[in-house]
Amino acid sequence: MVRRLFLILIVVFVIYYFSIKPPEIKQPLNFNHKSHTDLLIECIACHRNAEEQRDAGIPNIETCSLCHNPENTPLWNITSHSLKGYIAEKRQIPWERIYRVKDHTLFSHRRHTGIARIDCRVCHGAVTEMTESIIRPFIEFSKQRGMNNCVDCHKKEKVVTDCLMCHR
Amino acid sequence: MEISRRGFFKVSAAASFGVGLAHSKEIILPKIDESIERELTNFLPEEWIPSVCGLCRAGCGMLVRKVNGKVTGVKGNRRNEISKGALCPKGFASLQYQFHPQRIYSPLIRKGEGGSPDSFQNIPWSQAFDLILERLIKLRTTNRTHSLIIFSRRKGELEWSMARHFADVYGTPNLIEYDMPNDCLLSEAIYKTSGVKGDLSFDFSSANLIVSFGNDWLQTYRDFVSANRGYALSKTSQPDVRSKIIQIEPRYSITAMKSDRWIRCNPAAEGMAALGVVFYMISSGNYDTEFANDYIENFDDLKESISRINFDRILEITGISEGEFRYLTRELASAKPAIAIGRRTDLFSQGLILLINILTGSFNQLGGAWIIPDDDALEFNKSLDPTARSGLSKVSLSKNSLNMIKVLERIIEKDPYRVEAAFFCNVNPVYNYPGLGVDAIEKIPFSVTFSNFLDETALYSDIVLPITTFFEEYEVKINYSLEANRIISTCKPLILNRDVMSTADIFLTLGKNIKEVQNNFLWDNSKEIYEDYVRKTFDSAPEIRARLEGYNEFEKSARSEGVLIPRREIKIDKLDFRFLKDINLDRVKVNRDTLKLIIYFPSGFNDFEGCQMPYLLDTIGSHLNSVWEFFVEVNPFTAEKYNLKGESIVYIENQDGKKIRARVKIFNGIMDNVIAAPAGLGRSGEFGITKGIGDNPLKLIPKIFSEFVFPVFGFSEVRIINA
Repeated sequence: MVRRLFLILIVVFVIYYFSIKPPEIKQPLNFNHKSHTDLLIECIACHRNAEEQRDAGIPNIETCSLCHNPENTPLWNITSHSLKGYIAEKRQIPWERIYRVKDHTLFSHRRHTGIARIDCRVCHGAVTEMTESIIRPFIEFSKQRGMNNCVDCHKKEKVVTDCLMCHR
Repeated sequence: MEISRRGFFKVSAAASFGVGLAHSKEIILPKIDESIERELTNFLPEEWIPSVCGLCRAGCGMLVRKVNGKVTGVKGNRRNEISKGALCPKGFASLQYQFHPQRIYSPLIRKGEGGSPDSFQNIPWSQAFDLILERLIKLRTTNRTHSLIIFSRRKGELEWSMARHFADVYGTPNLIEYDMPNDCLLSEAIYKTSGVKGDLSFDFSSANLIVSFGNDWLQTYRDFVSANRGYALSKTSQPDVRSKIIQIEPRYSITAMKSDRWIRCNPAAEGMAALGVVFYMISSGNYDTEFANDYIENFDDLKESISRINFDRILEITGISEGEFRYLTRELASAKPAIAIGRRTDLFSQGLILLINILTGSFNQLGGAWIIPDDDALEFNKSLDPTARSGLSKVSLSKNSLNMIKVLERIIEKDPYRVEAAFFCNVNPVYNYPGLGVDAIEKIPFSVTFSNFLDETALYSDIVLPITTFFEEYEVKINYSLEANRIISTCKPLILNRDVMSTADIFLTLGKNIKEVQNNFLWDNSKEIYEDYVRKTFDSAPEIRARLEGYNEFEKSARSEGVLIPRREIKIDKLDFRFLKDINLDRVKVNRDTLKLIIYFPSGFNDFEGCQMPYLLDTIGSHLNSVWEFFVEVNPFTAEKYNLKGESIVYIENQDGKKIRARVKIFNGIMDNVIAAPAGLGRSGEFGITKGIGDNPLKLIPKIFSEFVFPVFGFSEVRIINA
């Protein structure tokens, strides 16, 4: 009996583990990626460091106000009140970070987008179609797949798979 | 009576000194500093003594290793406020400078043609002073004190203060702060726009974005040890924030290699690139409006004239794409605090780069660019006689110009008067300004060089006085930290050398022996001047007095780690950029077919000094496996076009027919149709084994090229011929 119960518990745990989604993260503003990319604004226009540095970077309020400013009247009129508030007060939007890499892992955006010229959508999904703020990482990077996602691509593209290339 | 070998030398030296004295008038020499003599003869078996490097103006902290009283090694001083334990290649090689076999240890007089080492003879100090004083007194009696010109590099404050004290009480307005062709980044623009004499200091450590218009700042910044520290801090000091570096230049320099993006730009068009950025920022409204209105005089007028610029011409001149200009503008507008750094080019380019710093709203802010005035904080008490006052009332040769080239040209043209005598205090215009330097020195009837070596300028001087190195003298250094705080550090002699004299001691001796001014020179030697200077510094800074208990603690702290004086706010009214309205793009010619030579300055030869230290000859061509030779970097496409082979020898000739000889090194990091060569070799001074190695590319720079190119530091149109 105890043995059976133990087995059931394991099965339940396994099903739970593989079905669970990462928790949703609440963002301070509703950001519509689609409406921006439809205007042919490139990813690096806001994620400034995506091609040049390790972290792609989250846009600061100065970046938003390059376009969303009172002098640009048509756009300013359709800008949300909350964003107008941040811009007027020159206060940074407290975006919640979605993607985190473990301390023992090195991931460089520069190597993937700047040098290998991989499209952002390969790892981040169809961001260009998203009309609401991102609340969880793209599914391919969930803990179920984990490192396999990286290794599969590295093997496919014949890139080095040495542990020390990414782990330190 | 038995006489030992040592005793014999002592008696002989005393006798020859006595004979020397007997043949001259009585010269009052500085008194022997017995305290330091006692200190240096009472040594431990091994010790590390803090000191300050004197090979350039930066003043990095050093720990000097002494074994049985002899200096045997150096390393960086971690406690030093400026360098925090780092040293540049020159600092590490400084013992080769100190113990160089070609150093001079006796005053020399020239008896023959200038330029030849055979023309010089040793003379005693008293005779050298006799000859100099004879000239100086003659100028004073004929009321022509203003025709003495003194050049000083201001490597040390004691040297500079004494030169200034002497110049003032003697009566000459011509004390010139000697600058190198690659010195001072935007000083002309700052002077023109604000009337402040000074330069910008860049806070590399806290900036979010550093855009460099042609300045290889990790190698050639005024204080590049600090700049490198700032670079490291900017990448690591804040979690999740790494500053971005964008380098705009035709060559893949050290800074370009370490930058996040290298934007290739046609040679000498970096100023135009700055114009393009200003145009884009203003026309798209992507700038800090409030800040710009506060700082810029008649900003609306300036905006209007900039917006009338033909942007297509800028694209043509710079070779930078419109997308890259858009990218630069976006980066500068959204990454406050952001720095725009330039190099010593023409006034327009400097002005535009200064303007970008204001448009980004980072000027005089933490993480931005600070104005540091040429702050002559300390003056010794002095009384001026009528002759001195009359001399000082004359127009200075550096009037309305901060540029050495202008001063040298005025000497040649005798404008506004003839220079009768010159002191070159550890400076070398004959090498730094080829052609112009020799022409100027030959126009001066009497010139004296204070130097450690028989260098190029010394070879053309009438008298050469051997001076101390930083291991042998008292000196005070003032520099600025990355956050523009003042750092005062000092050093004392670590080596006793009675054959040479410090520059401060030389000016003291001259002052003491001119009757009318000697009441202004009451010190006995440079030790007393040092103590006076340090005490005055301590008294004049209430911030230090509150922190450190007394003078002794201050002096000890300045010697061991440097004392930090917090930045003082500089009141600057609106900056006037009206001169930028005169930019005329139609006058800029673009010639795509000609080959262009650009010159760069390796860190080992910073300040153009380095050839004396053989270690440094290994460093300049390390990226091309080249050592101990002069080379020119050529793009593979250019090599094919001009039929050049790697490792072959070529002649590079400018439009005036001047030639230099170099080895071709194929290098992908240089734009097509542009070649690059390092400055610092081709020395004709007496430097032993390093004399005559390579060539000096500065010879090829035309005096005036165009209004958009600074005459020396820019570039030259050349042709290349297989040897």
